Amino acid sequence: MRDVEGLSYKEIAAAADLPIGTVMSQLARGRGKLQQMLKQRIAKES
Amino acid sequence: MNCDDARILLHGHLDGELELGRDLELQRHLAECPQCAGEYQSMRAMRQRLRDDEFHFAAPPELLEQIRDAMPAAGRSSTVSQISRPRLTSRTARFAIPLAVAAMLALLILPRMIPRGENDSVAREVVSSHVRSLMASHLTDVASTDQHTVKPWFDGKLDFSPTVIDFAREGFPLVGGRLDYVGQRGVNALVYQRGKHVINVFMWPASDTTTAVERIESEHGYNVEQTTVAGMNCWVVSDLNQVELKKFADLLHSRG
Ligand SMILES: [Zn+2]
Repeated sequence: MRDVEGLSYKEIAAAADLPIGTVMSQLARGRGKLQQMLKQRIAKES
Repeated sequence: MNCDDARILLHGHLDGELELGRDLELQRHLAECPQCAGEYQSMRAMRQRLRDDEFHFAAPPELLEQIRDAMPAAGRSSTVSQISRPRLTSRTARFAIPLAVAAMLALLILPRMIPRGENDSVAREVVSSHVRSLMASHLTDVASTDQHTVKPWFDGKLDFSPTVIDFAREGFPLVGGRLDYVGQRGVNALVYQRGKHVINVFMWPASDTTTAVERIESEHGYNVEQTTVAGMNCWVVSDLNQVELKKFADLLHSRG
């Protein structure tokens, strides 16, 4: 939601009924996975 | 602050979402923890790359639709004031957010999985020739900013010779030329410069001389443009940003 819709943490927290801290940690987890997969993909290509 | 907390707060910091107190705590941790400071640098670099053209794709509408479907209802509207539906339980949200991220992932990676055609293998070859030219400290065989020196140097080396034009006035000075190869083929390489960026132009006779300037999906952070100039196939490669490289390729195409 942050990266696709451009919502602020506060807006996401309100929409998903989660504390802002949890929004931030979920975001960190998701982006971490994304980065991992991109790295693997780039490594495979070179 | 421990490293686990810091790694999470880095996201808040980069999104401009941390309150001042937390931000200062994070700054203190970064100052004394080289691992987290390194992670911070690589996250910033990652963001930069995602913003760059290489990874920046417009999502197909169906995919955006899927992503939106995976989000909690309220997330689909972009203003909070429109939230009127019952709020989702945090249980749902725990699934919805990773799902949305997974969809985003697909969005970023799918375009790179589309089968590559012949142009793509040429693109790979010109990029590796470009990289080789930078690494081997063998950028030019003939180093000259004078097109009247560079052009004759090529004569007789291969059974074709390039059109050599200096674009110094347009901000792309000629640096020199060299013989190189792309795949198995001997080619002319012209070297130009834009600030600190080196631009390689690989040329060989074209069978199809009608190509306008065309952007080729970039490889490993390099931008690649293809065009034809006076019957020659021209592949333009640089780490220069895509907008300026396109401008250069247009120049090449229009003056050739
Ligand atoms: Zn740390």
